[in-house]
Amino acid sequence: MTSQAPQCDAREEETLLATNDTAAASISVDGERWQQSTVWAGMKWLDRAMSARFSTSSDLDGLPLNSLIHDAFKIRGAETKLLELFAAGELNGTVHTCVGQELFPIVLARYLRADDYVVSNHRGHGHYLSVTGDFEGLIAEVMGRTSGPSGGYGGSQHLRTARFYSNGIQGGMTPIAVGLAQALKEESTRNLCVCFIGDGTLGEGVVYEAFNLAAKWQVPVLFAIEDNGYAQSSSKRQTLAGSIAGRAAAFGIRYFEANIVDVRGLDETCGAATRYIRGELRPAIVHVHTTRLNSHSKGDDNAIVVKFKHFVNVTSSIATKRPVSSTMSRHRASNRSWSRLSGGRGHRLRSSRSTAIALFTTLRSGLGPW
Amino acid sequence: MSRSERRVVEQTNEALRRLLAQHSDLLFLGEDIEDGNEFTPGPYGGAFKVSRGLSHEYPGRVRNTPISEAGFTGLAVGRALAGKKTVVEIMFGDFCTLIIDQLLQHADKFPTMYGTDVALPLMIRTPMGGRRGYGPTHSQSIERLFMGMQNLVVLAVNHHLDIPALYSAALNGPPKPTFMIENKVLYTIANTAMCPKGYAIEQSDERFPTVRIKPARHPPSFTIFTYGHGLALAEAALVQLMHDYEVFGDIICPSALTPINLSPLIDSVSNTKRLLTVEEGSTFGALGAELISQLLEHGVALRSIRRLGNGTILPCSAKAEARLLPSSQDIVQCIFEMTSK
Repeated sequence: MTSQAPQCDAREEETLLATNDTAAASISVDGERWQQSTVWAGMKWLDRAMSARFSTSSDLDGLPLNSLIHDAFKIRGAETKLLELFAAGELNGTVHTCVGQELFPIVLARYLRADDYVVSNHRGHGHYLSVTGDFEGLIAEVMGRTSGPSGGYGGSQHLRTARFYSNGIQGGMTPIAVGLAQALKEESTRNLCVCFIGDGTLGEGVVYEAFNLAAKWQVPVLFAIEDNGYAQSSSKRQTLAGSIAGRAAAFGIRYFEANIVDVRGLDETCGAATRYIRGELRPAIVHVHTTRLNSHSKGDDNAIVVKFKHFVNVTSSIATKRPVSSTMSRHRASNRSWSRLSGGRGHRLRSSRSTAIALFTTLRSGLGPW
Repeated sequence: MSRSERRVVEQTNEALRRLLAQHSDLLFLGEDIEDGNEFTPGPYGGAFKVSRGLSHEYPGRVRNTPISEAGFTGLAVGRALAGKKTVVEIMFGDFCTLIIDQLLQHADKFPTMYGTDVALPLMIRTPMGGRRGYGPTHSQSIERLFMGMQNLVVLAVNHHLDIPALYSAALNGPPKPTFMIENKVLYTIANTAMCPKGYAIEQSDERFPTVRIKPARHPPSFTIFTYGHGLALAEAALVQLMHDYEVFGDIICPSALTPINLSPLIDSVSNTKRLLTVEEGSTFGALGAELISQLLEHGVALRSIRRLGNGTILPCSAKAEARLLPSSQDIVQCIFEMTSK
């Protein structure tokens, strides 16, 4: 929802903890608070999304939840497949998955035009897929095939189309987004440039140079801040002073805030922010509270991956239409959703799964030069 | 080759004026480059006056920026990525440490890492060098930090070049990011095609020409490799070497430092067998060292090699600074020692 008021992120997290329920507590392995809250938020995301999806009115005041959630699962399916490929030794390097964060780019993409620019970061699969829908291209790119959007040269973190650029340097793309937006402004087209960063990126000084330039030169750039509470393995509580809203206020940049578990609010926020930017030709910050359910990267063997493993298993089993684990069934928030969930999503999920499998089998032959 | 004997600073100003006139989408940005505006009524036009008058002639297209080198360089990279020609002034070359990330990790990589030729019509231009008493953080020549990247073209102006033509070639050719090195002292020197008496000046027909100065009648017995303001020092040394010691040699002075065309140097050194490289920055892992390696790789036999440069932190004191930076006297001394062997 639109808001000008600074909000204390830590307090929000406390609230989340306060409403923690026994299900989340039992999922938590060692009872660490951060872990409880993150797992719980992830469950809440899934539950809310699914509840909305299978409530009697599945389209919420014109919001096509069916299709949004389908798209979210498709991204999750693709990233799950990438993790499998990694485990099978088919991928070089690493992958940073956005499992848990998928809905923000999907919802934001509803308000983007084909000739807007999107600038992305190391965790950019969801951004790329939301904007382009190019699943085959992404998997080909990450597998180092010449048929990928960057010819297999760039890999996971360096994706490109004529209007989409991602790079793996933290904050480095923020002034570049300002420059792209400046170019758009000169064309007088009411287009905008989206720049995805994370809360961890807010430690980089160049971000504030970009904020200052964007505000002073009045360019149509949307800084999309995905606040998952973690900079790689370090908590926001260790790394971020002040608040994100306070940062926006300091530069006189319009601030919007949403939470990924409230899809409708997220949708309204994205709509309001993009309308504001196109109308006023000024920058805005859209701060979305979200949850990263996987560890920072595939290569990380840290606690997060171990502790979230069962949750990801559940979601991936949904995505591939395997039976929902009995563990998850025990912890579901209500009786109505889970069993119907797998049945109800059958057709689309099958297609998603078969697409992924087809891609994989297709791409296994066709080795690129890398 | 007669050319109006304007100073390098005025010719650089003219080069930028022509680019602004030629390309209506060109934006020139940097710190304090506007020549007075509603907030700053007096004339300014850049710390070294390179952009004098331009903001009045092209309002809105010559823009002051905040003190945010990384930020506005990134802005320029983004604008160039959208296909619009963009020129950036970094007030002092020393401040280019602040933009290495934007150049190395972004501008240099974009043309390649996306698997297709991404155009980047971008020029960063900046004055390097000392001899102005600005001290440790405003006198350096740190261009070696920017050399050897895959796509970034590093150019150096010298006083014999057609400067507007050089700038035009940089921005009108294949759209690759360009890093143009100017020099604070060079700004004050006449932009001329005249070279010392007894010598002839040649210029290659490359997109970014190499200047070669060679004895008119005598066979050369040494080769000086240098660039930028070093050319003026080397020429002064040639005159003294001719008068005091009656020795003659070639100067090879490219305008493109990376990628560099080695052939003029190979041609000269194959003949003279003696090479002195002159740079203002540190010689450690610098262009001179690189070229000597490449010559050896090419099997060029060298009898004598010396490198002049400065690896120290420059002091403010004029005397101390002059003693530390390579001078024409240092060049004379080196060549005398090399040719006496």
